[in-house]
Amino acid sequence: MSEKLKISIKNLNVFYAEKQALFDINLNIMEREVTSLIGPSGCGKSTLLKCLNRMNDLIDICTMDGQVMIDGANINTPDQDPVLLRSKVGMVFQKPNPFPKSIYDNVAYGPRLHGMAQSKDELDSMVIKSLTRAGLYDEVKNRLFEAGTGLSGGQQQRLCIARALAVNPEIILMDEPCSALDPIATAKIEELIEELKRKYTIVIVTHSMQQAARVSDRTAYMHMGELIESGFTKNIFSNPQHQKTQDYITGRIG
Amino acid sequence: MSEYKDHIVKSFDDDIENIKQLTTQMATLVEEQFKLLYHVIDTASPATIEDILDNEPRLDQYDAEIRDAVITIITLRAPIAIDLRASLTALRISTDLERLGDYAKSIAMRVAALETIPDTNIKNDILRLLTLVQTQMKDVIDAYLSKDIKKAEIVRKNDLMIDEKYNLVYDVIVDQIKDKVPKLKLLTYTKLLFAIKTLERAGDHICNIAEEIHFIVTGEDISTTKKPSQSIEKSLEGINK
Repeated sequence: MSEKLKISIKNLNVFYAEKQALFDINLNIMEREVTSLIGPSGCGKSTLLKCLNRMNDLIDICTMDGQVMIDGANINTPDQDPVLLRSKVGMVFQKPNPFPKSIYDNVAYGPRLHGMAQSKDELDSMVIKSLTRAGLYDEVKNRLFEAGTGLSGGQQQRLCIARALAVNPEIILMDEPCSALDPIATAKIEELIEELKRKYTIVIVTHSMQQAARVSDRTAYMHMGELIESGFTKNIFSNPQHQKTQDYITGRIG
Repeated sequence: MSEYKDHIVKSFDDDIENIKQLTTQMATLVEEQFKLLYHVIDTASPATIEDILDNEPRLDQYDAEIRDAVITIITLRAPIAIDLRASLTALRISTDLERLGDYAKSIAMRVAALETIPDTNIKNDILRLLTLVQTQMKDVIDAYLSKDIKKAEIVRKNDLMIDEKYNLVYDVIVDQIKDKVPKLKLLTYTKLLFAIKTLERAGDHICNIAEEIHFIVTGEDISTTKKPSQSIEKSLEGINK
C-alpha cells in the first residue's frame, strides 16, 4: 500500500432532477489500493462510481456540486476533456459488454481512438500486453480474430478489462464485475484484481460482502445516498463502528 | 453498538441462539456443580459426590455440542463481525466452563478423601471462598446473557476479592501446618491448600469468560491489556502461593 492519495471526493452532492442521490460525500481513495463501495441497492454506490469518470455527464437530468479531485486536479472543470479523463479512468461493467468485433479489435479500439500506436507492430504489442495483463492472452492467442462475443462470460469480462487496460489507465472502476459470473470465473477476476492493484488504483462496487472482504484494502459503506463509514476492510468487517454498517454486513434488518 | 436486531434470514438467528442456549445451559450446569461442591465440603456427603460425577459427562457433551454448532455456523453462514465473535468466543467460553467443571470435581474428590475437615474455622473460610466463586459464576452468566460489558467488568474487578480471600485462607492453613498440626495430619492440610488454589484458579477462568463477553460486544481484546495493576511484590507473592 502506497498511502498516496489518488482520488479525493469532497462535499459531493448529486441530483437526478429534483431527487438527491448523493449527500455530502467525503472520501479519499489511495493509489494502488482496492477500495470497495458496498451498500444496499439504491444507496448511490454506482452513482458515486460514475462520478469518478464523469459518466453522469451522459445523463441530462444529472447535476452535481462539490469536488472530485484526481491527483489533486478537479475533474469537473470545463477545460477537462471527459474522453481523455475516461482513458485515464477506465470502467468495467456488471455485464460483460465486448463490442461486436474481433477479440483483437476490442482491445485495439481505445489505442486506435486515441492514436496511441504509430505502427501495426506497436498496436499488436499493445493488444498482447493488455490481454496478458488481463490474464486472457494464453486462452485466446490462437483466435485473436474471432468474435469477442463468442467467449465465455468470464473471458468476456477479462476482455473488457483488457480493453480498459489498453489505453493505459491509472484508475479502474468496476461496477459489480463478477455478478454475472460463476465462482471459477469470479475467482479469476479476483486474482486479476490482486495483480492489477500493483499498477492501478481500483474502485469496485460489489453486492458480495465476501468479495469486498477478499479483494479490497479499504471499504466504504453507503446507505441512502450517504457515506456511513469507511476504513480498512479488516476493521469494517471485523468491528464496524456504525450500527447501520453492522446491520448490513451481518445481514440484519436495517 | 448496543442494538442486536434480527437477521433477515431467521434461521441464522436460530443458529446463533442455539449456541447461546448451549453455552448458558453448560454454564448453569457448572453452577450446579459448585452448589453440589458446597454441599460436599459442608456435609461430606458421599451421595453428593456421586451427583457431581454423574454430571461430568454431560459437561463434556455440551462442550462437544458447542464445538459442533460453531463449526456448522462458520461453515454454512460465514458469520462476520459480531456474529463471528459470538461464535468464536463460544468455543473459548466452553473451554473455560469445561475447566471449571473439572475443578469442581477435583476439589470434591480431594475433600471427600479427607472424610472431614479437621478445623471448623478453616472449613468456613473455604466455604466463604467458594461462595465468592459461586457469586462470580452467577454474575458472569448474567453478563453473558445480557451481553452487558459493565457487569462483565464488575466480575473482572471482583476477582481480586477471590485472590485476597485465597491469600487469607492460605496463610491460616500454613500457620496451622507450621504450629499446630501433627505430622500425621500434614497430608490433609496439603490437600486443603490444593483445594483453595483450585478455587482461586476457578476465579481466573470466570474472569476469562468476563473478558470474552467484553470481546463479543466491543471487538476489543482486553485479555492482555487491562489486567488490574499489580505490584511485583504482589505478583511474586502470588507465585509463591
